[in-house]
Amino acid sequence: MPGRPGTKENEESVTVTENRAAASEPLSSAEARALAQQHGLEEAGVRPRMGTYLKQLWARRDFIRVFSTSKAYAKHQGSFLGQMWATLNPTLNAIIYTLIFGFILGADRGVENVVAFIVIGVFIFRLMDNAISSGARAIDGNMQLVRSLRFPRAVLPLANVITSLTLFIPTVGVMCLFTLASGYLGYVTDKDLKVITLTWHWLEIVPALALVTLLNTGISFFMARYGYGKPDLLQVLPFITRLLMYGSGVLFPITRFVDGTDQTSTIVRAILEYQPVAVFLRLFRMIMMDDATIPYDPWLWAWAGGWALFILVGGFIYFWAAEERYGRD
Amino acid sequence: MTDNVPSRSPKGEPEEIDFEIDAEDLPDRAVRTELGAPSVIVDDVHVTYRVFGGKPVSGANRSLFNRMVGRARQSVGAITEVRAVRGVSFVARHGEAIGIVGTNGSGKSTLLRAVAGLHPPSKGRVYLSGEPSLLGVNAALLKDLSGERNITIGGLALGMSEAEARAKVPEIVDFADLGDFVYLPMNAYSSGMAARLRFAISTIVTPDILMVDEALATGDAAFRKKSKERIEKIREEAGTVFLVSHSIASVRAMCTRVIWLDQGQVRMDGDVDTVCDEYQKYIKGKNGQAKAGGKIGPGGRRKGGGKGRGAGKGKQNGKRPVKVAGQHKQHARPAEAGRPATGALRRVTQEDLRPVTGSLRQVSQDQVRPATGTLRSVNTEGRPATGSLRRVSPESSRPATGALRRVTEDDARPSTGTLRRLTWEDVRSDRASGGYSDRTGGGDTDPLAAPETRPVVEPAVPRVPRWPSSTSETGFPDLGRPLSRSEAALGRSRRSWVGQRKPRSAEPAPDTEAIPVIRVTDPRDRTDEG
Repeated sequence: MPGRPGTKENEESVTVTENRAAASEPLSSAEARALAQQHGLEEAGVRPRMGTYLKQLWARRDFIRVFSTSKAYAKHQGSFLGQMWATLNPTLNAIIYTLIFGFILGADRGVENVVAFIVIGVFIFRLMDNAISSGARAIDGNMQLVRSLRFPRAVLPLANVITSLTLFIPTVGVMCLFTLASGYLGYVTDKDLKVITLTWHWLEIVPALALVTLLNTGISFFMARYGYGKPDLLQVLPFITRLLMYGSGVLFPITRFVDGTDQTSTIVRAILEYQPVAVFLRLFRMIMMDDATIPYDPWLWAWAGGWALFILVGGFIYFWAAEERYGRD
Repeated sequence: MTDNVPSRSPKGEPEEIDFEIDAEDLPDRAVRTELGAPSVIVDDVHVTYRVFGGKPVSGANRSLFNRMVGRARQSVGAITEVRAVRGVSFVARHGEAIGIVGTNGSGKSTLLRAVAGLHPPSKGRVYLSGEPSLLGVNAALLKDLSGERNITIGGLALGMSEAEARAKVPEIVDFADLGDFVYLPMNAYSSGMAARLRFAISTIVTPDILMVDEALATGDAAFRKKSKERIEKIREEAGTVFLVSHSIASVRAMCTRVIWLDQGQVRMDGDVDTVCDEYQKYIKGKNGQAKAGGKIGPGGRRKGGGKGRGAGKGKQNGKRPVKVAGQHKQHARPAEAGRPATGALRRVTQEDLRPVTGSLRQVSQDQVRPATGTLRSVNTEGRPATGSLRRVSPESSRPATGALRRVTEDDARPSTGTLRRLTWEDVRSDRASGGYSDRTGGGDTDPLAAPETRPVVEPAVPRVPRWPSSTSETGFPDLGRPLSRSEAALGRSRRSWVGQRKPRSAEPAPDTEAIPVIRVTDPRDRTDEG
């Protein structure tokens, strides 16, 4: 093996350690580290401290914004109606729920306006469901990007959340319209649907959306690490989210089915009622529906805020702790 | 750059010339700058891939039970570890330009990615003195978005602010020579255009440590020249440069030191000429063996027994004119033997972009060729069948998209169709505009695309013939320049004998030209009007 290209002049300029480095046999690990320290080289692929990491993340805020909104835009770009689908899709969904629950199915499920109950439930749940499933694909689905550019990987789950939030904005409008209109269905059909009116509480949709976005970010961080390198999880995930959907009272008030007075029932009911997804569904219904079965409860805000912060911070730390591993197979 | 050592690199026999770089593009030797402090220290780096969904099944004489179990294990619970880089150590300094050479699948690109901090090593450490940047055709882009949008996103991803990134757009567009295509979604781009754009985006910022992965192989001759100049410029500003290339010529021209990787390990590391000479000797030896017996030489065995990862990367396959047949054999066989599903998967996921430019096309042609070949050789009636098939696909998809296209995405849609078809068989159209102009009837207008696209998209048409030229270097160096029809026919028959790859690329041009012109335009015009 020939030696390294060491010409006269550069051999003069190097120190003893570097002469060693220029030798033909490789350095030992200790020597490599010493040489690196001596010249102020930093080890690559090491997880930065939390503070540094947050700073790096903040520096990429433009990237997160443009990347996520572009992805939201690209989602509907391949069709003739293009961006119109962002509105059409939830509208069609809402029409189907209205048709089925407002005209065909008879059950009122113990609420005063079952159509509004279901429309709100399904849309808000889908937003959270999206955070789970897209979060699980955040790293694997962007492996090309991960393998070609250096940036804090938390950008990816964050961008996912913002993408789905962007896509959700038209849905909020549709949701509000159908909720308001659903009451008047009672005049058309023989169903007893309470007319929902616009109240000042509706302004609280904005902070509620902010909280649910925080929650989704946390979920996304958690799922991004947990789902990373587990392609099989993607197959199982739909079943988990479906279970979550039935367990959170998306289509019917779940607590109706646990009405015992013994201790077990009380505990089960408390869990079902105060798990994060149920809390957020209830929060939106409370704001928008003015239903006798869902009375306004300021403490629900505390629950929602607590869950959002807890999951956000926990998820972020969990994600950050494996930062150096993303991209490795 | 044309400095003190003006000696052209000594070349071997003509077949040793790497056609990635045209001879006139070759600069003089790289200027040696004084070496500074260490900038990259690589300490015993190992990179291991985990591959799902394939497991090599070994052993020929096994019992039925074992075979069944083996087959089941191939399909369920199959995880294979591929050790792409196995214990590489070196120290690079400021002012050094290091070439990394090696056969396909020797771990060059993986090593580069590990050094860039993009692929965390499974063992070992990398120390860097600054921000590294991997330059190349791999930068990820969003296919549904316009080139303009992708440039902005690329700039942001590289750490610029949005204003800075937007300001860079015109420069990048100009450099990548996209023209109006910058406003179309990227899935309307030809592979050459996309690769040019990727390269251009990755050069937006000047990094401390520059890593170039085969970027020189991108685009047509003019673009390669441009990109080389750009790399040179960045190189002057960057501290340390790494260049992964299959082109020994460009390594000789641009590097001061060469690391030869073999099976993921450093086989040689040293002065550019010493290592390159040895490497070329090694390659020549491999070629000789392959030629002589058609048997798998030491290189082949190595590949078969090892990873067979990059077997499809085989850029040189198509690039060495005389050896097409021999080389082909030598590359393909061992890879097939050792590859079982793992190799294929690995290549697709990891090397991603490279196959698109180089080998995917080649592979697909390899696959297509037998079918086309036999058809053609059986009788001439086979040919209309092939021709019509090819036309059916754009045709049949058109009714669906036709209505749409007329209304909104007037530009994007047709150009998508055109582009796709062009890239698919661009070798031919390339030739048509290049050497065979008299035969195909005019070198300027593209015989394939022009007739059917012109009624729909005016702006796109003039560009059409130029895209494929980007792939001129991807292969088929036996681009002779027959001047007359008879000469072309002569060359064609001879080549089809020798290389078995010629018939497809050379012959069908007249047919495909003739048939689409007549049949494609007629029914479509009718439906459009009626």
